[in-house]
Amino acid sequence: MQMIPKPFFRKYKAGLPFVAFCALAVLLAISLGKNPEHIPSPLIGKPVPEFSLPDLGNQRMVSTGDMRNRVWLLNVWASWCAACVTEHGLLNDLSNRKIVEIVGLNYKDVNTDALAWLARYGNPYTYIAVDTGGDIGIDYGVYGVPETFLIDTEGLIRYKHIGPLTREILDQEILPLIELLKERET
Amino acid sequence: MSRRIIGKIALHALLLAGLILSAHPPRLMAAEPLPELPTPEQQQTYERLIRELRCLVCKNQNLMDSNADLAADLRRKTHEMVTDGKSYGEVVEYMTDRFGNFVMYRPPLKASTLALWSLPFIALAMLLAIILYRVRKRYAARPAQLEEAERRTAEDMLRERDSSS
Repeated sequence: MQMIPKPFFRKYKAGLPFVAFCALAVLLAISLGKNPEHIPSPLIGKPVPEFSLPDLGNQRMVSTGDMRNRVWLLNVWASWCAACVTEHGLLNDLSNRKIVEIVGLNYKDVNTDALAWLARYGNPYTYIAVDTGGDIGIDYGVYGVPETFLIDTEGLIRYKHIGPLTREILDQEILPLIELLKERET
Repeated sequence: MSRRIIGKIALHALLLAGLILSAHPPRLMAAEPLPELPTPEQQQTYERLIRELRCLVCKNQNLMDSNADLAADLRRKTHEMVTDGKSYGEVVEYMTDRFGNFVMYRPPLKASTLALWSLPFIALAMLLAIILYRVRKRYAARPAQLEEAERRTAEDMLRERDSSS
C-alpha cells in the first residue's frame, strides 16, 4: 500500500490542545508580572494642566505660572489619606536637602484638618494649592491619592507616580530624571 | 439537514443568547441623582456617558452604578460638560486625555487596540471552522446511499425473512 501523507491539520490534530494550552500559559505568565493597578497616564509629555487656587494658610493664590521655568514636583495629598503619611518623610527629606521644589495639591480636604496634619508631619511644600471640590484633581486624572507628578522647565509632565512614593522609586526613577532635567536647563 | 441537527443548533443558540444576556447585570441606581438636563438629547448623552465611563477606583463599575466619591465627582463633571453643550465625543476626549483609555468600558479602535478588538472575531471564525469540519466529517462517515437495484434486493431479502418466520 502506498503511503499517502496525511493533511497537515489531521497529522497534528492531537497536538492542538497542547499548543493552545502553551499559548494561554505564556499569555497569563506575562500578565501575572503586571500590576493591574498601574494604568499608564496619558498625561506624560503633555503640558501641565493650569490651575490658580488659594494657597493653604495664606491670603493669596498659587498658580502653575508661579513654577514656570523650574523643575518641580506636584504632590497630591490629603489629611484623610492614610498612605500619604507613609511617603511624607521622603518628601520632607527632599525638601530639606533642597533637591527639588514641591507643590502640594490638597485634594478634597478641610483646611483646618490639612493644617493640623502638616503641623504634625511636617511641611515640605513651597506652595499648597487647595482643591476642595476635586476639580483640578480631575484635570490631572487623579484617582488614587497620593499621586506625584514631575514637571520640567517647559511645563511638561515628565513622570507620574500613583500611590505612595518609596525610596526605591525615588532613587531609581525620580531623582535621576530630576538630575537630567536640571542638567538640560543649564 | 436532519431535524435532530437543527434542533441541536437551536438549543445551542438559545444557551448562547442566555449567556450573553446574563453578562449584563441588573442596573443599580446611583446615590444622588443630578438634576435633569435642559433637553432630552442632553439627558440621553449624559446617561450614555455615565454608562460607558468607568469608575476608576472601583474597577468593575461604571459611573452610573458607583457610589464612590470619585465617581460622584466624575458624574458631576460629565453633567457640567453636557450642560455646557459639550458633545459625547468631547466629553470622552476630555476623560481619556486625563485618565487614559481605561476610563472607557468600550476601548476605541486603533492600532494599539487592534488585537483586542479582532480577537473575538478570530476566535469566532476558528470555532465556526471547527464546527464545519466536524459536521462534514460526520456526514462523510454516514453509510453510502444504496443503488436502486441493491435496495430492492435488500427489501426482498427482508421480506423473505419476515414471511419465513
